Amino acid sequence: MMGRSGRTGAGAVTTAAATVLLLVTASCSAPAPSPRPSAGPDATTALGPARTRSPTPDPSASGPGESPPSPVSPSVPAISDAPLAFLVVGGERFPGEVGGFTFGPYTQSAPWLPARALDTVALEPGADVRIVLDDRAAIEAWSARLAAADDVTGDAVAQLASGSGVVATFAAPGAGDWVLAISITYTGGRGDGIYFWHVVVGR
Amino acid sequence: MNVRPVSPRLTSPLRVPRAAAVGLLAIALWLPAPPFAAGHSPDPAMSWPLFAANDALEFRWMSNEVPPPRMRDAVVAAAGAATNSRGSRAPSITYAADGASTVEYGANVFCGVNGLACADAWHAPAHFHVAFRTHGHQFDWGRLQWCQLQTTITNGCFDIVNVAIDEFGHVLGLGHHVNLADQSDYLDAVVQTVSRARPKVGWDADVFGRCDVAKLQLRYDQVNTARPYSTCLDLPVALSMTVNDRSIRVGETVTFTVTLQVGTSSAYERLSGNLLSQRAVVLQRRVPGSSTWTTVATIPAVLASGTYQIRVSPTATYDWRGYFYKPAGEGLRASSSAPFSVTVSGGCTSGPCPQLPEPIVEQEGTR
Repeated sequence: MMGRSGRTGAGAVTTAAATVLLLVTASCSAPAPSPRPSAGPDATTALGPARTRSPTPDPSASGPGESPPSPVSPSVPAISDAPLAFLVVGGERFPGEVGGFTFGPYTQSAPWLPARALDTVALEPGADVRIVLDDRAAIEAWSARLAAADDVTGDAVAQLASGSGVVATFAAPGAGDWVLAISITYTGGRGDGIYFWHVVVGR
Repeated sequence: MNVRPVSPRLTSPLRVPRAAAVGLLAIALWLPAPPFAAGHSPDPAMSWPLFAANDALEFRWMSNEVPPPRMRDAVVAAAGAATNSRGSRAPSITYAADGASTVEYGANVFCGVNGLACADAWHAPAHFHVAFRTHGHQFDWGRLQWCQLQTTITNGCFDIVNVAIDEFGHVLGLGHHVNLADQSDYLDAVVQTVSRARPKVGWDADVFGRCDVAKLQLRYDQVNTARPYSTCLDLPVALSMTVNDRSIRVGETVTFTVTLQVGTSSAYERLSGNLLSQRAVVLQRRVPGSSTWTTVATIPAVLASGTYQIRVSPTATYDWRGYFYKPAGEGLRASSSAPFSVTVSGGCTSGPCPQLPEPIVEQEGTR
């Protein structure tokens, strides 16, 4: 049904990530993800180290909550932090990468995140996809957009789906190598954030 | 929105690989229309407290985290641009060596992992913090390049002025603008969820966009009764008109007085009920029973804010109303007063009425 690979930045994949990749892809029917896109036209860009975050089981019993953000010192701000968003498919959760966001006491500016900066999630066309937040926030409205994985700056983005409610649900896009971006408005006027996944959809 | 050229632009068409384009087209054809499309609306509000209207916010460079000279110049320029383009009573922002707020620059600032800049105004109205990541900082998404710090400006760099105005907008209470699905309204706001690098449209926008200004006006109020409201707003207008005498003899003069103001609702925040001066309000009449209104004159503004007045000598009985056409250059709706009749006796006695002469219009005041 799905597979996942860690990022292959700089061509390095940790042993743990490779193990996860092998185990997950071996146990699922989806084809292996296509090769990562090239670095693109920005010659000044370098790839970061690979990460090895693993999918986690979907604890559907633990719904989003409304706990307030942590208080901060007036003189020394803590590190900006947004709620985590997870792409849930087939009972597993894949954390997304947050770009720009506003939440509680913080806001940050960030660009469109290219595929090379993202963990890869392999999906089947039309698979039921859910997006949920951690217990620090809940979804009020959401909008899913899609760009080709080799479109490193999000030049050509297509609307995939949108809606409102605590959980964003939509069908996986057609076959291809994509960057999936979900813009989420948090409930209670607490801000918004955009989350990214590198999604490889097999045929 | 004005855009400030930092360097000659590369205006290459969008780069869309053929396979990707086919895929996106297929998706566009396959997917149903989204259930809602929020766009062309004022920016949402940040959840943190507001500074006081007309406050003068001053920032200093954080010790040991001082930006390089060209970044300092750009941040100061951005503060000036934000101040000059705020179009509202939002606070001004300026640099002062002893400012209560701080701007910092470094690798380990308080931004999140993907943040090229960030802001914190949770402690408004006391102070705010803005931070910029170091030029050359290595993110997973690439190496950060600030255009103003490059020897030769290259595509992929970020404009410090643009990003700083975005952060100052947050400081003033602006959340990220909700764009249309196709992002065609990106230029309506500088305060955006996705920052754009050179040469994408909007990468160097150097003033607040109209939907930034709209929210600043809502939250802090308009500067005065004559200044235009952002075209990102769509404010209803209340127009009331009175006359000093509803029954006269021919040859006598009546005075019509109009009051023009923004509609009253908590949804319009600080703008609710604001008087509207220096607008074009016209006086219209119709023959009783007719549905066709004729514009008689423009009603001049008088010194009192939001008030317009005109003296007329009607030659026959008419219905009268004041009318405000929707202006092209600001976010106000058209409005009309409730019509009423002014009965004229001793004038037109045989139809069809009205007969010449036309009403004598005497205008007072200045516009």
